[in-house]
Formats: sequence, C-alpha cells, structure tokens
Amino acid sequence: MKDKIRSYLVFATRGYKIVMLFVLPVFLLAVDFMAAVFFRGSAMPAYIMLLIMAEVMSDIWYLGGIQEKNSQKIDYLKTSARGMQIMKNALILDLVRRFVYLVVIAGASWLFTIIFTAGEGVRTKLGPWEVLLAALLIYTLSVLGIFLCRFFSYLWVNLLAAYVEAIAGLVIFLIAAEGFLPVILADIALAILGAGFSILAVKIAMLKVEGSYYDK
Amino acid sequence: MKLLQNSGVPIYQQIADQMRTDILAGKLKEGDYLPSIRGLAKDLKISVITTMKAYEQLEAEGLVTAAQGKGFYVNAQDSEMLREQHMRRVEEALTEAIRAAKIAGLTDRELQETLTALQRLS
Amino acid sequence: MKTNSVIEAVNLQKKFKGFELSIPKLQIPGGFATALIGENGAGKTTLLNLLTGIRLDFNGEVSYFDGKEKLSDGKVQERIGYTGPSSFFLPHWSAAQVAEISELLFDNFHRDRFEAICEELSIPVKVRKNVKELSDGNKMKLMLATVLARDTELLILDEPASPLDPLMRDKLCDIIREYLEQGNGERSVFFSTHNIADMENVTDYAVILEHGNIVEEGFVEDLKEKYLLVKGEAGDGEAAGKVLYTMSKSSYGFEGICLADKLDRLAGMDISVETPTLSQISVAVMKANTSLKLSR
Repeated sequence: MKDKIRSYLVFATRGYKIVMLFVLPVFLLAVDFMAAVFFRGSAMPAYIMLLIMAEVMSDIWYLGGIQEKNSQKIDYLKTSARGMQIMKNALILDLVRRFVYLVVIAGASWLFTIIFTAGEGVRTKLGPWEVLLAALLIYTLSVLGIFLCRFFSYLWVNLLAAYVEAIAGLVIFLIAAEGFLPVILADIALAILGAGFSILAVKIAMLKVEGSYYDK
Repeated sequence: MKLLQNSGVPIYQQIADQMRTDILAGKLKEGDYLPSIRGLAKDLKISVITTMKAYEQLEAEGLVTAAQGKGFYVNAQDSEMLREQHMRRVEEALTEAIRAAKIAGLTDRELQETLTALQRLS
Repeated sequence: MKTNSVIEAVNLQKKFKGFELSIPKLQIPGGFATALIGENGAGKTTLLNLLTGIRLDFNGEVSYFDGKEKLSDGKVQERIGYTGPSSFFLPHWSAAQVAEISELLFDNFHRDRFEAICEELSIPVKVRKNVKELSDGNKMKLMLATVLARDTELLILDEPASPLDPLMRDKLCDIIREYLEQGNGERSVFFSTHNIADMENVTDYAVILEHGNIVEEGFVEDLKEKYLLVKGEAGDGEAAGKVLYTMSKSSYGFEGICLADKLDRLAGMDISVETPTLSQISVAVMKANTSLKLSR
C-alpha cells in the first residue's frame, strides 16, 4: 500500500500536493463548518461548482497529457518491468482520492448540519439524498472531465471543461432539487455513470500509455 | 608510459613494446601481474580492445600468460628462450648493419672496426 | 577472440513508410564498449528501441547475457540501464521526483549515489529545477545519473554524446571506462552515435548501420587492419580509383581507404599507407554502401 501511495504521489508536483492534498481539504471542511454554523445548512451545492472546477483544472498538473500520442515522457517507466503497474496504481489511487474526498466532505457536511441545526429542524431543502446527489455529480463530472482533458496538455482545455461541467452540474442539481427530477433515481444513475467513467478513465489511460509501445 | 598519437606505430604496439622492455629488463618480474586491461585502458584513456591486443601480442611472444579471471602475469623468463630471443635480435640487427655497410661501400674490416669501437664506448 | 555475447538478436525486422530495419543477426560482445555508428535516419534509435523494449512492434527475437534472458520474463530490465536520445522524464518532475520514481522502478537504485553523481556532473538539482527547465546537456546528464546510480551489467545509451559539450564528452568516455573497469569483464556498454570521432578512444567494437542494415562490424583493432588509409599522387588517381574502396581526388593527389588484401594492386605507385581512424573507416563504409544503393 505504501508503494501504491508513492506511485500516486510521484506524479504530482510539490504545488499540486500542497494545494490539492492539504489546503483544499482544509478549506472545504472549513466551509462545510461555516455553512452549517451560519447558514444552518450544507454547502454542497456551492461545492458543485467549486470542487468540479478545482479538480478538473488542477489535473493538468498531475497527469495532464498522459493520453496524448507519442509521449516520450514515460519512456523511463518502460525501461522497468514495473513501470506500467506504477502508472496503473497512480491512476487508480487518484480516483480513490477523489472519491474519498467526496465521502468525507459530504459526510462532514451532513454531520455539521445535523449538529448545528439540532432542535431547530433543518431549514434547507437538502436532505441526505440531495447531498449524495451533489457528491455524485461532483465525482462523475470531474472524472469525466479529467478523462477528456488528459488527451491534451493545454491548460485552456482543462479550464473550458471545468467551467462547462461546473455549470452543467449546478443546473442538473437545481433541476433535481426543485423536484423536476427524482433525486433518488438521479443518484442511482450517477452512481452507475461514475463507476463507468472511473473504469473508462483507467482503462483508456492504460491503453494509451501501452499504445506508446507501438509506432503505428 | 608515454604513448605517441601520431608516430605511425599503433598504440597497442607501443604498449606491447614498453611492457616487453620492462619485462626483459626485469622491472616486471616472474609472477607479477600486468595492470588489468580495463584499468590500463582507463588510465591511458584508450579502448579496452587496444590494451587487450597489446597483451595478446605479449602472450603470443611467450612473455606473459593469461589466467582466467585474474589477468595476465609475467612468465618465468626462461634464460634459454630469452637468450634465443635476444640472439635473434642480434642477428637481425647485424644483418641490417651488413646490408647498410655494403651500400655505404665499407669493407669487412672497416665494419668490424666500427663494431669494436662501439663496444668499447658502451 | 573468445568473448561471450551480451546482446543477441536474430531476424530483426521493422517496416516504416520508406524505411526498413532488417538485421538477420546481431551479436554484441560482452565486457566491451560497442558503438552503433550511423547517419541520422540510419535506424539507430529504431534498433535501440527494439532492444530495450521501448517499442514492441517488430519481428525477430532479442535475448541478453549469452541468450539466457529475455525482456518478456520481466527480470533482465533490472540489469540494464538505458538512456534515451532526449529526456524520458515527465517535464514537471524535479530531481527528487526522479529519484523517487527510480526507487519505485528499480530495486538496485541508490539514492545517495544518485545525489553524489548529480553533484559530480554539476547537474543543477539543488536549485529546485524541473526537468523541462534543464538544458539538453543537463537532461542527458540526469538520465546518465539515474542509470549510474544503479547496479547494472549493461548500459544501452542512445546518442549520449550528442547534447554534451566537449568537456563532458571526455568525461563520458571516462565514465564508460570506469564502468567497464569496475565490472571486470562482466559489464558492457552499447551506445549509438552519428559522430564516432568523439567516442573513438573508448570504442572496442563497432557496428555500422546504413539504411537499416548492418554494413560492417568488428573489433576496432581488426577493422584497422582490414582497412588502410592510402595517399598518393594525382597522376595515379585514375588507376587507384579502380582498387580503392572509397577515394577522393584533388589536383594535389588522391586519398582513400583501401582494403588491406587489395593493397598489393597499388604496387608501383608512390603511396603512403597509414592506419585509419575509426571515423575514417565508418565514413568510407557508409559512403561505399550509399553509392551502391544509389546506383541501383
């Protein structure tokens, strides 16, 4: 497990590690807390925009361009029998990290809300299914986003995808929260899509990386 | 050891000549190991194949023997073989001298006198 | 000369548009530094990519260390150190990350040795530079540092001298000799170059590649006995041209490479005979084979 974590971390720059693995989670938990205290509710809807954008944009500094053609960049890994496994570990752990973040944040959000609205009754329209919907939207859209952006190594591609998906996520959430879409159904659909995109992201990335063994 | 780059004598030959001189002069004694081919190549900044060829030549002349995994060591300089080798060189040198003398028009007596004079000098 | 072989390959074949690599047999002797010589486009990188497993789409069999190991078994990679023609690292990596990935990839990587080598080669790692901020020369030095920090038995270097300045090229030759010396016959080096003059005094065995084919190979000392550098008077140029392997003429005289066994055909001419450099031999061999292709 330690080696798997090292495999994941080795692809990240110092900046990425500091911001995404430390500053961001602290920030998110702090906002969770404040939203519960001051607004007596969950900050999850705000996170839809914030986190999708943060995750999709920052990926350019993690494995940006890894699915591009040519990529002499990983030839070093090809000189070792373990190279491909390390690549795969990094891809999988990256998705695990994203998933863990959402579980923790959604959970903390719900927990803080319960604690701080105890006795008052929850003021917002957000029930557990809505919080779950937000979490699943964030996960599924950001995984889809990074999957598409990793074919390129242009920052503007990541920025564009981030903005489009953030808006799309928020719109879908509002539609569901306002009752035009059954939330539980949406949850199930997103869970399936999320799982699907995850598998796709890892498989396609590995396919592309292994494709660099061939000149055609 | 001084190696000349442009002397027309191949480097391996220069190395072999230098080693041979040392061996015949007794500077390298029976049983002494020559520097490793790769170590010598490193010190002289040349290819390993060059030092190897130099040593193989010495081996062909019977001056050294290759020991598997250990390198090349100096052979017992059999006084008979040594003498023979030296004899050959004396004969070669003298034949050369006789030829040159003929071209120069020296008589046999003049040649022998020259030899005696040189012997007294050395 | 009895030597074992560190790399063996048979029936290597790879086709591109307009180019084909075709090598029926390749045998690199163990314990020496072998140079793969060829012009740009001759197929050197193509060949080295096949031999190191960087590319898998080719026909033929490759094996290592007296034919006992294959890349597909996954064990021999540990014993081989490879550097590419240009940086094979992720551009945003720092030296620390390079060390980290090296530790993950190989068991025999020593971080302390890596740091010492970076120091020795003056690679600016302490200044928190990323790979992409390094000059081409420093990128090559970094790749060399990663392979030298490991306990390997074979170094495969693709154009290692190209981005290096003359001082560093000299140091590279020293590094190769030191590597071979420490291996005491059990280590080998196989490198490619389009300019053998820089690496001549460390080359033991040469393989000359032209248009994807091996057109000559051999131990350098043997090649220097097979090919001779001949210089002569302008007047004899015509006659000499029929005997010499390659030749150039001017009003002052002619100069060319002659096969040793054809030397007596030049008897009677006022010529000088010298030992050619490996560079001169390579150029002659490549010239001779290019003209064959053109005349077809």
